[in-house]
Amino acid sequence: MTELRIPKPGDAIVEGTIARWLAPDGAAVGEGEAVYLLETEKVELEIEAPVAGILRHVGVEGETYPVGALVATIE
Amino acid sequence: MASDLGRDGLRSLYRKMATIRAFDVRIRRGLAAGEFSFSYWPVEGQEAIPAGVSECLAPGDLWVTTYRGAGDAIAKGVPLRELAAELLGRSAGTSKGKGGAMGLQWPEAGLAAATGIVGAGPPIANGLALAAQLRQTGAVTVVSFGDGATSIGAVHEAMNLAATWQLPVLFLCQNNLYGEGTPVEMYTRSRHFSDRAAGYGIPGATVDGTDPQAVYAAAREAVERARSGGGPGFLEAVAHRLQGHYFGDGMRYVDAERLKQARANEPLGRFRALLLERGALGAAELDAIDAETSAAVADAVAFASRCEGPPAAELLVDVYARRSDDGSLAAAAPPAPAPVGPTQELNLAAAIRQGLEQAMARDERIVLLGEDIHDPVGGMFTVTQGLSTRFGAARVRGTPIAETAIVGAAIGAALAGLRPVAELMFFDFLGVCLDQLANHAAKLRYMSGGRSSVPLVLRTTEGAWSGPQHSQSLEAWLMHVPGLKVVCVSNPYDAKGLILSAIEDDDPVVFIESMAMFFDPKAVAAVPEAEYRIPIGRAEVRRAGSDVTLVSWGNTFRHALAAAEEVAADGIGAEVLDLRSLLPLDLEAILASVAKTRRLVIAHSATRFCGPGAEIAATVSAELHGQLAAPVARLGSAFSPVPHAASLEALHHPSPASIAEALRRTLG
Repeated sequence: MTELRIPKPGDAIVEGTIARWLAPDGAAVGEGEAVYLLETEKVELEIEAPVAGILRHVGVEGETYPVGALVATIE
Repeated sequence: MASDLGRDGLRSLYRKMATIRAFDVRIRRGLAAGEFSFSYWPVEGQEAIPAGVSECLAPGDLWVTTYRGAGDAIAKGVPLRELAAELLGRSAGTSKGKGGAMGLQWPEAGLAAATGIVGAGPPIANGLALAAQLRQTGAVTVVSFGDGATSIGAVHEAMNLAATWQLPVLFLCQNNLYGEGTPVEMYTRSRHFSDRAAGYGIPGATVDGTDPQAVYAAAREAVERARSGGGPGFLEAVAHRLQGHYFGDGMRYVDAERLKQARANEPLGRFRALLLERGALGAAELDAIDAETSAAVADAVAFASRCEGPPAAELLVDVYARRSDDGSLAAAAPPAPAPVGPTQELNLAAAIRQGLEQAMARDERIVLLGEDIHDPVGGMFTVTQGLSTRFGAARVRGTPIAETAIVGAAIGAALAGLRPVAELMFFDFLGVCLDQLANHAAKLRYMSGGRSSVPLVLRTTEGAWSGPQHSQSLEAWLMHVPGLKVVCVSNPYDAKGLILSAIEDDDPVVFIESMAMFFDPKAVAAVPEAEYRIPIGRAEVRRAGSDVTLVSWGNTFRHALAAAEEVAADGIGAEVLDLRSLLPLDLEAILASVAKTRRLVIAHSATRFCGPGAEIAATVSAELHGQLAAPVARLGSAFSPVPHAASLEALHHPSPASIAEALRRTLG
């Protein structure tokens, strides 16, 4: 199982928001496929699947989480 | 563009590019998934540049890179596991996790230095190349920097010096079209950066940095010319950066259409198609290389992830070559017995000159660098007079008026194993070379996890009678820099013994001399003709006393001693300490004396506010709390620039009279 955690896109960033899921819960995603749109104070960033597999949402769309928080898994 | 590379060469180019790409993709993927977090500057789109340049280098050639250096490091042969571990901040990393992407160094493969400061690499590359030139090793130094660095003075100082001295350097400008988040056309009217090389008498070329064979061909011409004594070259390789300045950069400053085109034409895929089309390498072979490089990258990141971060004890390791038990500062050598044998009456300038001359006569590694240090001038204060005549212009090198280039060249030469002694004519010029000194000389040991050593001496002068910009005492600035050592001499005897110690020290030493003392007949002293060493980090009790401790150094020390003699007539016994070294600071000697006298006066010509005296006073107050019979008195310069008018300058610094008054007041 591969975890997707809130990244730190920029030295000063401490939290990020799941602005929108780009792949639904339970979807089969391919490697490099966009999973969610991350919104931070500095940028919006499409986060891609690091591996292929079944996506499981852990975080909630619209919610803000600290850097390092688990927001999805890929099985 | 075709090249003379055979199948092996083409395979090597492809393998390097594929490895760089796979590494960059894997790191960014891990960062995006929150698998790990650190600052990272992507290299996608620029893979062909380090691949092509490295292909024409010999194993002994050197490379200086930047924070966007992962591609350079891989192409130069830094092992992937140690590279990944460094980025992840693990103790198995190239720098034990202390340097990160900005501190990638792997001297074993010729990656001599990296810097996180834009444009700071070229001055250092010159020093590496100078060492190669002096030793006739035939090694060429490549220094890569981005297009943004072409705007900073350090690069221009370095290009001019390299051209003047015909150093074997390749200035490699990786023009990725954006200086961080600013497009090239917004910050220059230069059409090609290589045009600027012509202004310095350096051959320049601009190539397509997405074509590895074009890069290889252009780099080879410059490298071969440099290797055969033809001096430096400048190669601008243009390749659109396909990712942000840093991971997480949204690239809102990029022309979307131009980026789309660059991505459609990305260099690895294009090179692969070319190799297939020409029948140079087959699909199966290329697929095999892709699989191997992906597996190697996966292994490297998995290895790094398994590794531990550096242990807590590492915090204070690698700041200095040696460290004391508390880890904070290098332990001083024990005091040496005074040398016996004949002496000469020498002034300060002559004593330092004698130390330099004796050291140079027996140690070929010592080279001198500085403005006007060569004959007939022999230095602004004649300290180096006669040395270029005796040792030759190759070892006593008069430089352009370019302090960043001077200190950078000293750093590079020191990294390469020489013992450079650079001269900064006046202390006030510290501001024009402070980045090289504080960010590089002082930090490269730490940033390399102890792999690198910067044993240089920077001689400088505390001015006097020279107004606001040539008379300052700036030792407090430098005492705030971990990694530096700072020495400030008060007499010719110490000066000779300390310059010899400074040259032999494995850490960078700033050696402060005094303009007021150089030629003062009252400051002449008996100096042994033989060599002797005074340990750095040891204060000296110059006058014994039991009523009050008086701490000073440099030219002000002479005023302190005069003040102590003056108050002796009043029956006040002042014990006078000459610190000699300010970093490391001999707090032990100060505390031992104050424990006895219970009173402390500190006098220095550095600004009193936040001056070195504040640190000394704070330490004494903490360590001897309750034992002091009077408040600690601190004398320093007024909080003003040093005035030109003699009448005002006399009020600026502590004087024998003001120090004597402080002694009397302290005795109440």
